[in-house]
Amino acid sequence: MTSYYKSRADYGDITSSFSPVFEKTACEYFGLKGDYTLFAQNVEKLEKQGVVLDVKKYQQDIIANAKIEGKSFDEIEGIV
Amino acid sequence: MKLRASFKNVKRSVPAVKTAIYTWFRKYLGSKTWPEEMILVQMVLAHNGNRKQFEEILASAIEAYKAVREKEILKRVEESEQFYDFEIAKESFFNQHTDERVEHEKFVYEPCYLSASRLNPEKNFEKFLTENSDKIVWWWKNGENKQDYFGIKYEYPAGVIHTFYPDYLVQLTDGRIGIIETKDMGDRDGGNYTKAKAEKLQEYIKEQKGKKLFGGIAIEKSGGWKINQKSVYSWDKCEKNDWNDWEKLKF
Repeated sequence: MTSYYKSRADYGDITSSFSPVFEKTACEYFGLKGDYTLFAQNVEKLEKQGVVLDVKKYQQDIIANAKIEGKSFDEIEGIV
Repeated sequence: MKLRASFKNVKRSVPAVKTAIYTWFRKYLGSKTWPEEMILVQMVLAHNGNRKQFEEILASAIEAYKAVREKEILKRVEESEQFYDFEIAKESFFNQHTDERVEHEKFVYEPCYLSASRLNPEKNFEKFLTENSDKIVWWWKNGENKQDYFGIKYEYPAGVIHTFYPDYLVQLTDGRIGIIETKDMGDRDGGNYTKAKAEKLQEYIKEQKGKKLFGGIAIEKSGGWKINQKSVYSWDKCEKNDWNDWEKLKF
């Protein structure tokens, strides 16, 4: 009698192959055309679409020892 | 935003998702030069004005990723799958915490140890085997997810590969070997997984020519055991109390 065996392949998880999919999706969303050397131009595109990317402002928040709430990011982690 | 059914394993998924996000920020926004890079990326993502957009992107990416992951899994299955001549292992070790010693005649090993958590249809079927022990040379209880166990490849839904481990192999005195999967009358998977298994089992029996095999889904009904050996398993008929496709299981 012939028997069949396969090792488990599906752990219900997202793996490293997610990176290129996320890259493509994010670029399409913000209209970035794959030229990833023009950081300033890309930042400008995102800001025009309402993304707050003022690094200095975020930095000041850290420097000012503002209480950084990890909770929001953790929530994103938890539900991903 | 919650993961769909195919990505339930959040703990294993988070590192890959984080890496994808950090990589994208580096590649397209030059975050490598940002001081406290990871904290700043997290702040950007979690910022009230940004969060909704990034959640939308993540949701779309996860949706698009499903097809990629399915192909990846299929490739891994194809690489790992094996077909081999099955033999019951010469010896078997019991687990004192999960198995129980049971008195049954003709069990392939002596003494007989079986999983204490096996279901009632299985326990009842074992009684049936003992009652018919004069027609049985040996019987064996299958297990799962090991090469020591007897598996049949099947798909459900189409394209998604599983291994079906039928509950019992029974060698009869007339030379036939029975491959039996027990279910109860309230089988919730009757119209889906059980149907796929039942139909695959009939195909398998036909393919294994000259081996005197028989088998099917067996259900205890009205105090006796019935077996379905049809090439098409119509559970919908049973739900309408039509058991014409089932015959009395006799050894």
